[in-house]
Amino acid sequence: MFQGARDTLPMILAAIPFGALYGALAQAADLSLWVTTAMSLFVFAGSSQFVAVNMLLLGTPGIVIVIATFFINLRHLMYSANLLEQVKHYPAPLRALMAFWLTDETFAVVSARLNTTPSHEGFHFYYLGSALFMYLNWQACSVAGYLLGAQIDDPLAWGLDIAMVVAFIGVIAPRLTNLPMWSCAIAAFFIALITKDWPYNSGLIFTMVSAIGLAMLVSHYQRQRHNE
Amino acid sequence: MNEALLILGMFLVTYSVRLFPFAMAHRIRFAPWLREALSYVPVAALTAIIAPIIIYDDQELIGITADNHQLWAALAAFLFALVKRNLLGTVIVGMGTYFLLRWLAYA
Repeated sequence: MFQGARDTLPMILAAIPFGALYGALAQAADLSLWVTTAMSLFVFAGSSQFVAVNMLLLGTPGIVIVIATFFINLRHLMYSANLLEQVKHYPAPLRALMAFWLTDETFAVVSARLNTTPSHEGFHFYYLGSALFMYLNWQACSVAGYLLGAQIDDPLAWGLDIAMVVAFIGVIAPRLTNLPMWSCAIAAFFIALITKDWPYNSGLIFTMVSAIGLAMLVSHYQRQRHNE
Repeated sequence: MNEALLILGMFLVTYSVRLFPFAMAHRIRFAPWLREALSYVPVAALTAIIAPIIIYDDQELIGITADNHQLWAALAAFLFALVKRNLLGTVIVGMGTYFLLRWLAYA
């Protein structure tokens, strides 16, 4: 568990300003501390919590916020499908707990782990160490952001979010071992730039699906050429 | 009370997408093509998440300029990670480059 938590440290650093900003925004939007914290405790999904606070501020109906949340977090479906082989031997309650704590960050950290140590001995401890650390940090930062409120001056300017960027790069680069993976990364990079303003993370889903599709085409043609 | 309902709704939709494949894990067997597709998920998702953060700053396009500290930090981290394949080292190189460039720019 300790190893999982330790490897998550860069993601923790990067999450601090976002958690604080979420708390501060919720406070500015006149949400109660109870609602702010309950959202972090039960939903535990950063970008959708931001969107929810902003939409509440605009008076958006709850059902629209829930639908937006669904689309924003749809990418988790692909993460959890990707990890399926690793978790299928675990008892259902453990899988349910692991699923609740699935985030971009923990997915990145365990993906890096699986790339270097494919045998999943103790995988759940590693996963839970990473996830629990992310969870507790997110709670602490949202409460702190709420209580400090406007005293925090633009936490995103601290530059800590770069920790996540470079950590993700550390996960991606070792996987670039063949042409399909390279095409996938290059395509994802540019398509993400084009689609970044699409609503509710639909650009992210579109990017993932098209980059994966391209990678599969490339690997298909590679196999065909190999067989000729 | 409305807010409790909202949080319940957000919890339900978020948890169901996280849970669905995990809950079915012992019963699902993916076709080979789907398993191959899923093997690209980490690279596709993580690249898509960071690309706009590298190229844009607060919605403003900064692109390939000397002032784009995060781009140079990302590039340094990427080159290091291709050679060394060490996550912690990559983070240290990337963050180090980033804060060094920031310090040089404002010093």
